[in-house]
Amino acid sequence: MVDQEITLRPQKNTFIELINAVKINPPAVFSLVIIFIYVFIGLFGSMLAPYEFDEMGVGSPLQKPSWEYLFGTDEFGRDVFSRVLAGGIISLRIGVLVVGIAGTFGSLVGLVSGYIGGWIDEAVMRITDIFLSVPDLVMALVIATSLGASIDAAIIGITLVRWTGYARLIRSGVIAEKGKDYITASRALGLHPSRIIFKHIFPNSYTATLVQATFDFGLAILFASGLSFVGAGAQPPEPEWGALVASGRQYVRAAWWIPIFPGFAIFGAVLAFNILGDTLRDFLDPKLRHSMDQKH
Amino acid sequence: MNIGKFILRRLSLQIFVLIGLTMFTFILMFGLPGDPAALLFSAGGIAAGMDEYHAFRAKWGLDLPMWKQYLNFVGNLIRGDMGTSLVTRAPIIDNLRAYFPATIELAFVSFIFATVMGIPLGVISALKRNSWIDHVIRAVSLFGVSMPIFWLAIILLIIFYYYLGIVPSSQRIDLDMEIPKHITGFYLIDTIITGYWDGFFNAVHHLILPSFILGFSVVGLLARVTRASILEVISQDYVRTARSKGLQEKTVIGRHVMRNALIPTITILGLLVGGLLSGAVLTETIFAWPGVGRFAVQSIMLLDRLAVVDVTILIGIAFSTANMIVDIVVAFLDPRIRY
Repeated sequence: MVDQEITLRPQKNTFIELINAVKINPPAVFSLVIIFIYVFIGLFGSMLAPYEFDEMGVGSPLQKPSWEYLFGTDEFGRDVFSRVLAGGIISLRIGVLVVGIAGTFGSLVGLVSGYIGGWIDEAVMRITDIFLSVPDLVMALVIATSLGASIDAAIIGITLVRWTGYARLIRSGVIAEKGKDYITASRALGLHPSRIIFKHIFPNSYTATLVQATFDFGLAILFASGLSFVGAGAQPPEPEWGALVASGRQYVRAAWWIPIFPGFAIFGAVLAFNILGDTLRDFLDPKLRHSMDQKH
Repeated sequence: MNIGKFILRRLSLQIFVLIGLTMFTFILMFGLPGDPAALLFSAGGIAAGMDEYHAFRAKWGLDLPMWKQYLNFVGNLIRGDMGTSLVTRAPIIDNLRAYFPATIELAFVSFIFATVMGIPLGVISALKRNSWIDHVIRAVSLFGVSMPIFWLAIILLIIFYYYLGIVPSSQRIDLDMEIPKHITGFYLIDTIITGYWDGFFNAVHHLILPSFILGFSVVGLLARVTRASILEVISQDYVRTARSKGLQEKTVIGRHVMRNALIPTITILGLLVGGLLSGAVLTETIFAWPGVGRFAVQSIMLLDRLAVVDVTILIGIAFSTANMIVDIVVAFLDPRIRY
C-alpha cells in the first residue's frame, strides 16, 4: 500500500534544486541576507538599541544624524535609530501572523472547495468575489477601523483581504490536479478524501502558494505601514514604521531624518521579500524557466 | 458560451457582489459592539439626558433590529439616498458628489501616466531581455512596487517643494485662485469649458506630483506583466513561422507578438485600478487632496460609520465595475476566455 502511494505520486526534488538555484543567484542571496538582518533586528533590536525607544530627551530635539544618534533625534529628543530598531519586531510579527493565518486558512478553504466542487465551491468563490470587490487596502482599512484601529486590528484586516488569494490559487491547483490519473488511482484504492487532499493533491499544488506567501510577507508589512500612516493601525507611542513616518511628517521641513529612516526600513523589507518572491517564481514556474533559457 | 450570455452572467455576478458588499460593510460597521449614538453623546457632541438619547436613536432608526436597519439602508440606497451623517449632519451624498470627481481625476491622470510609462518599459525590457537596460527597468519596477507610497511622496515633497519650490504641496488648485465652476467636478474639464485657462494650468501644476507618485506605484506591475506576456508569446511556434517566412522583425513584433501579448496586460488593468484607488487613500491624505480617499480616512477618524459604509460601497462599485468592463473587453478580444 505504502509503496504504491509513492510510485503513484509524480517525483519531485524541488527543495534540493531550489537550494542549488539560490546559490548561483546573486539577487536571491542578497535578499536572503537582508531578510536575515531584518529577522535579527526583529528578535534582538531592542537589545541592540543604544537607547530606549520611548525615552525622551536622550539628546536635544531635532538633532541631525551623527555618530551618537545615527538616525538623528525626533521632536521629543528620542533616538530615531533606537525607535526604528524597536519597530522591527512589530513588522516581523505582522508578516508572520498575516501570512501564517491567511495562508493556512485560505489554503484549507481552497483545498476543500476545489476538491468537493459543486455548490460549496460556488458559494466559496462568490464569497471571495465579495472580498475582492473593494481594493485591498481600502477593505483592510475599513475592517481595521471597525475593529478599533490597532496593530492587531490591522493584522486582522490584512488577513481578511489576503486569504482569498490563497483560496483561489490552491483551488485552481486542486482542480487541475484532480482529474489526473494518480488521483483517480488513489480513489480507486479507496483512500479517504482527506488523505488524498493532504498527501497527494496539496504536495503537488503548493508551490505557487509558497511564492504568494513570500510576496505577501512584504505586502503585509507595506499595508500595515499604510494603515498606521492614516491612523487605522499602530497608535503612538508604538514604534511601528508607518506610524513613525506619520508622526515625523509634520517636522519634515526641519528634520527630514525623522520620517525618512523608518520609511527606508519599510522599503528595504518589502524589497527583499519581493526579490525573493521573484526568484522563487522564476524557479518554480518551469514554463517561465524554459522561455528564459531559450535563445533566438 | 456566446458573448451576450457571457455579459449577462457577468452582470448578474456584479449585482450579487454589490449586494454582498453592502451586507458585509453594513454588518462590519454596525454589527460590532459600540453604540454609535452613545459614542456621539459621550464624545460631547450633544449634551443631553436619557430622553434625548432615546429620541435620537428613534429618529435615526438606531433602535430598530439590525436587519430592518439594513433593509432601510438598502432601500434608501436604491433611491439614491445615501443617508445623513450622524457626525456632520449633512447628507453624505453631497460630500461624495464633491469628492468623487477629485479622486477620479487624480486616478485617471495617474492611470495615463502608468500606461504610457509601464507598457513601453515592459516591451523594451522584453525585447532587450537580459541586457543592462532590461535590468535597470526591472529594478525600477521592483522599487516602485516595494516603496511605501507615502514615503516616496515625502521624499519628493522635500526635494521639489521644500528645496526646489517648483511644485505645490497640497490641494487641487492654489488657495488664492478662484475655484472652477462646478460642471462635471473635474477641474481639467470644467476650466476648459469655462475658458478659465489660468485655472487649468494651475490644476495641472497641482496634479503633477501626486499623479506621478500614484502612477509610479503601479508602473512596475504593468511593466512586469507586459514583459512576461511578451516573453511568453515570443517563443511560440507561430512567431517562429512568421520569422521564417521572411517577415520583417518590425512586422513580427507589431502584428504577431504585440496583439496577443496585450491580452494579459489588459486583464490586469482592473487590478491596476484597484491599486490606484488603494494608493489614492494614502496620496490624498498626504497632499490634502479633497477626494473620497481622504474623506474615508476623515470619516474613520470621526467614527462616522455610515459615511465609511457609503464611501466603501462607492469605491467598491467603481472598482468592481472597472473589473467587469475589463472582463467583457477581454472576452471580446479573446474568444477562448468565456467562463
